[in-house]
Amino acid sequence: MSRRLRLHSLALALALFVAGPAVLEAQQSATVTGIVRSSAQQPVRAALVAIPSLNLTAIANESGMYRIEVPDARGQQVSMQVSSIGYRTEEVNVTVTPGTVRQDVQLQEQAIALDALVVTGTAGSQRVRAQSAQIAQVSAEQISEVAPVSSVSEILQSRVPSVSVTSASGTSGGGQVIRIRGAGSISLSNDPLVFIDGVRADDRQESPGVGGQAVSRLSDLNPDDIERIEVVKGPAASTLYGADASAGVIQIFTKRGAVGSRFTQSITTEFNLIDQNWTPPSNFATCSAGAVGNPNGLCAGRAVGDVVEDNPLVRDNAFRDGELYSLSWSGRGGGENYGYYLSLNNDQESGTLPNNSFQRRTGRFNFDFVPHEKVRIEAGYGFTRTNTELPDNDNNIYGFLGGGLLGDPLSVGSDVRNGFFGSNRDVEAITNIRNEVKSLRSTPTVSIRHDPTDWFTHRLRIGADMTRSEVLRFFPKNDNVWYGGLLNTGSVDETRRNFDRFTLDYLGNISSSFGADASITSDLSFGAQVIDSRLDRVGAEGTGLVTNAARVVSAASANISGNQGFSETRQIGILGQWELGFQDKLFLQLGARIDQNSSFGEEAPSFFVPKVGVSYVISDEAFWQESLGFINTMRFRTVYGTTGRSPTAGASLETFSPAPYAITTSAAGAGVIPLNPGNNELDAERGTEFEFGFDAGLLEDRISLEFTYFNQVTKDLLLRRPLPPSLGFDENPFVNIGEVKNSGIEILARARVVTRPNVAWEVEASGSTLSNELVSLGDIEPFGVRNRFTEGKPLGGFHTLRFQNIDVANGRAIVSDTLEFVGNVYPGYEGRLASTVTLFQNLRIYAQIDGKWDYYVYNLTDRFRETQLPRSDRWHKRAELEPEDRIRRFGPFFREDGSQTTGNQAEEAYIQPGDFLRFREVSATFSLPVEFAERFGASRASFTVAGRNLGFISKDYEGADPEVIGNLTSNDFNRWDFLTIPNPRRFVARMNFQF
Amino acid sequence: MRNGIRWMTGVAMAAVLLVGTTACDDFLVVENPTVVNAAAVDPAADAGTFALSAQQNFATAYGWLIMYGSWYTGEAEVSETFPTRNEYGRRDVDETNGSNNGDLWVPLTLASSSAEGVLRILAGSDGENSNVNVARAALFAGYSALFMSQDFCEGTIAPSPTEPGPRMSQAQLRDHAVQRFSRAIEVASASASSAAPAIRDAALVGRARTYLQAGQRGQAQADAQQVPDGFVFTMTYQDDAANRTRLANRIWQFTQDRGSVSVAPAYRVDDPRVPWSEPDGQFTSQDASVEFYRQLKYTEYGDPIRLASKKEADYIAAEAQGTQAMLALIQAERAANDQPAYDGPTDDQSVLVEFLEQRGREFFLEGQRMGDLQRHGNIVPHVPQPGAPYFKDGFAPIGSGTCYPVPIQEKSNNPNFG
Repeated sequence: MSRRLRLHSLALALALFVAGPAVLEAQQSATVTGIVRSSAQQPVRAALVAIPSLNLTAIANESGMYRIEVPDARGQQVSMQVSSIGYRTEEVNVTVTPGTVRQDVQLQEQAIALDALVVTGTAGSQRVRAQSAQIAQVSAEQISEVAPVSSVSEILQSRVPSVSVTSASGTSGGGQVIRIRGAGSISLSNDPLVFIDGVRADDRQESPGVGGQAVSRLSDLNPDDIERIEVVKGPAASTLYGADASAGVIQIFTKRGAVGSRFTQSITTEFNLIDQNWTPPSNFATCSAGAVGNPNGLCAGRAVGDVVEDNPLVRDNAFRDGELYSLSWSGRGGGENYGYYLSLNNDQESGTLPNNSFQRRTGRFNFDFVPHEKVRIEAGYGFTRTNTELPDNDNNIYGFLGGGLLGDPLSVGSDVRNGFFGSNRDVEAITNIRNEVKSLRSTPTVSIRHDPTDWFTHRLRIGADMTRSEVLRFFPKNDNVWYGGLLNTGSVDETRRNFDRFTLDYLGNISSSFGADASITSDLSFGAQVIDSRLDRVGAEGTGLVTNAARVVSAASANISGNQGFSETRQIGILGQWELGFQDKLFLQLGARIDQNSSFGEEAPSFFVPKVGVSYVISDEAFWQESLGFINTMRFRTVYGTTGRSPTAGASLETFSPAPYAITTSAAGAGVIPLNPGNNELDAERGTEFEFGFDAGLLEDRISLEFTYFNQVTKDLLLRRPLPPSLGFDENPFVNIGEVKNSGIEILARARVVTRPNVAWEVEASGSTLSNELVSLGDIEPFGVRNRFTEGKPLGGFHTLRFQNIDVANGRAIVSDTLEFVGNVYPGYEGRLASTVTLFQNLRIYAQIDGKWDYYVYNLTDRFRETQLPRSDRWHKRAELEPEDRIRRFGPFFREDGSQTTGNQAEEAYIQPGDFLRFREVSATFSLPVEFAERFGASRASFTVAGRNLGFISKDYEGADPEVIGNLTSNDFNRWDFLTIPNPRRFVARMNFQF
Repeated sequence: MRNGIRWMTGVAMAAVLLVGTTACDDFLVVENPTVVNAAAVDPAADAGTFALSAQQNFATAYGWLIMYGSWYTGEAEVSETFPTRNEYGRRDVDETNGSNNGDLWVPLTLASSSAEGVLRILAGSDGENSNVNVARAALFAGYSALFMSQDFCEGTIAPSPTEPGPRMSQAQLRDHAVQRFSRAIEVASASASSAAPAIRDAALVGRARTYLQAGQRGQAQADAQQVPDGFVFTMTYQDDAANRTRLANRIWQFTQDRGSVSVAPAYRVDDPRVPWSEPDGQFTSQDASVEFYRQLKYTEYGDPIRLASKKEADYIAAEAQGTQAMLALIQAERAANDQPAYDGPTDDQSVLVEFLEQRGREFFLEGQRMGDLQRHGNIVPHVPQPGAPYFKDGFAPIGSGTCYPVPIQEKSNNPNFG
């Protein structure tokens, strides 16, 4: 290229750069902008602003401000729609003239958002008013604005009736249990399915074997990336998401940018102080003659029979204040035919125990592209890197609580235990045990929506959730005999787990209308879903390390072994749903799904899950408004459908388990033992569910009320028929037998008590009941011991030999001859009360209390400390107890038939009501004046101080925390508290800037 | 018309989906390499595998039986915290005890059912009466029944994998054991396999032991006297870190890995038959409040455990013959093990107690003591005595049990236990 030509090119580029805006200006563009506010004059962030006729959308930023660029402004009038969860959709006319058009919008809170859109498995969104089943919507954005939440489970905790979230321990990074409408299955998972942007997600728990705690994959998600969560309960779940969805579905929708919206960004920084707020109980011991004679021990100078006290965890400063430092950035915007959302987040949390931490780094890129007015492509990619260090605890002799709460005070100054349970195993020794779960998770998804005509829409979605985990359990080599045996030479146990889940999902919609004024509408949805899940695991372990730095299994000198596992499940489903609407008031939904699952082997039977439902917005009738106008919104809904669940892969096969036999001390042969007799007639668990309810808005939507009654009956339970062990099988086979019933009511009420410009007060109350009954076990005898399955009782209900009489005169407890029911594992009642007060438009104060009632916890910590390794003052000062209390705890126990039994069978004193009321959250968020925020170059800034888990009241539970579950990694029906660290309280400070 | 087109389009799309998914049957076929499909195994051709697997099943159960029996009969202290295991130390095991099912009943009944299964597979096959697999299976079917009769208060043996067995008394179990031992002797005697003589002699000892247990002293003596000098039959174990529960010497595993088996005070004696060590701080009890006196009879995961021997046959024969024979054996054993000669009373009871003392030391941690307790009750030396305080604080006193109950898991699901 000649020099002249290069100069010409440069000049041309320069001219285009300078003249570009002028050229655009010549195209007569307009910028429509404004602020979306609530009736309380609060900015409504994330409101969707759309000009449908121009196919333009924008999302309001944190200040409620939106901005839409209209490329061809000719003074035409267009209709602009503004919508947001919890508000009535507003439609305003805007005259688009070149330049800037200011249009502020005020949204009215809507108690019952009948026109809000929900994603229900159809190709497009559908309005709430047409849904016959209740689909709860939770606005993660709005919750995280006021509440101190740092995980998905905390967003959901107590906020949706019948969605029971239990934080299993106070361990940072530890898992939770989520149940929707209780548990309907005995042998299969009762975990709800999780979908992220329509793709079936990894919802496992992973444990490094530290006791009862595990890492929940739900904790991988950055709550700041979540726009909203929809919880699908009842028959809607199975029909739309497949048989495995019987336990409900949690759909998570991440934030997205909007086409034509301006770029906005948000920076949030947060600090949490985590206070254990619990003093472990002291250990007690009674001085013996030998102990009195030890000049260095606690009994020195005391009399035989004196009781001495020690608290090794306090003495050794086991607990610390935990901290969380969090920094999040997100930005979103869009161009003429695209929108995007980008985020980065870094959380660094240290727990209250010295080797407990949780690090989470996340990133997300969502990109929406509209290459053609009839085609929309939505792509997303999320990644998460987590590193969780879990401390040993629970049923674990290497745990902090096991080491501290089971220590013998007589060993202080006497032997190497020095008040701890294990020899030489003090806080330093326990701290040096490392348990890590490092995970890298990727969630790519692509969705293509095509609207070839105005009546036909279809969508194809492909997505994956891929998790790579490294799990380490490491005991360092030491010269202090910390752990005993070969563990002192160093021990390393490494596992690699690859979990992949792929989703392919096609859905189509055909809509049409009939009759005069198109008063009859028809919406036919159909589709297919293919999901493939595979878990590939390989691990190795060994002992005897040269140095702790060289902590790979190949460096171990002894006991080296490997293990491997693989499982895969595939499922295919096709679904159809027909919705018929009459005058936009009455809707009939018919749905059905056919599923096949690889669990049933090559001859996989298909099973059919239909549903039928009706939704009737009766308040739209003229007669209603005339006679019951104060109830401005009233919708009745009812749905009846079937549900189902599939067993794990290969469940129908008769199998052996590889089991080697020793030929010599060094040579082994490949042997087998019977594993499972199989059942070639196995079918899916089938159930029916009926749901009825209403949604009401009263007094111009100042009060809303949602009520639902549900009744779920699961028949043909996939139950492991307990075989007599003498038949020689290692596993019990699945059979379809028996019946379980779950029923209950769900109530959610909201009231806007005060709605003045400078004062707004909203109150929200919710509650649910759960009645769970094992109706029939077929020909199977009751099974289980403490958590027993008996007809007429709830699943896994606590049983023991119950007290019939405390015979104080004869110093004995009379207990029943046989196991009797004590109480529920799952709460019968849950409730929540939350209040939000907004003052002067910039100070928002939020508080929530919630509770669970009518359930029991097995307080094994106390039982162990009182009767197995007596460290409790109740044992050592038992003479001071009331006689009845003493006998209840320590016996002796006699059955009514006169035979003596033991505390192992008569445990009623330690199966304790867990009822509690917890002061869960309180926060104050102050939005800085705009002029102050602008000094930082921000459009908005807010500052939040908050507290979480500040305290609880429990009348009857004697342990540290009735909410913990010390065996999360075990099955559903075994709720115990055994040396489990209670939930700590958190104090939160958070700053948010929007630009 | 337009709506008609829409309906037809919908029906067509649904049909395509239906056809498409039903054409994907192969997609639902997945591999699951962690289990062995029973259809892939040929029972007859693989009978040797099944027989050796059954032998290992018994070896696994044997270790558990020895450990729990050692706690129950006072050979060892429960130096761990499991409430269910402390029930053994207290001779008060409930039918709901989870360890009783998981650690004892399940492994023992697996040993029994797998051995009985081999006998069923090979019944009527060519060469059945000289097939060493039949002899091996019969031997371990016999020992499984014998241990069920001496450790459990009652039992059952399933006639097939789908048919729960009848409720059997200890006497019926012993009868079954005699039948199986007899079959083992018969077939092993006819077999040309190099393994057959040992199987035959082990079965002879087993049958003698069963007869002694049943009080049939003459038959016990007759069988015992057929056992050749120097005969020892051991169960083989391995140091395989990946298969500790199945292949390891259980006593060492629970000494080394858990610190669960601490030698009881009465056995902390200077006798080469009962090797042990003082607490050294290196190896500690799982229940750290119990001082750990490590047993040193087994010191490796791969150490074999004696099941049958000429020595046992001698003890059986002496006990069957009576006081003088027992006294003679006492003196011989004392001399052989650097003990002073017995100079105590020589009445029947005193000699029996001393005989049982020597027997206890000779077969320390070999699973013999439960049988002694069955035959002679609380006079067996060092057995925890009913009503005495448990050695740990906070527990109820020693119970009066002499055997373990059949677990509730069996009773609830085997209709014959009604």
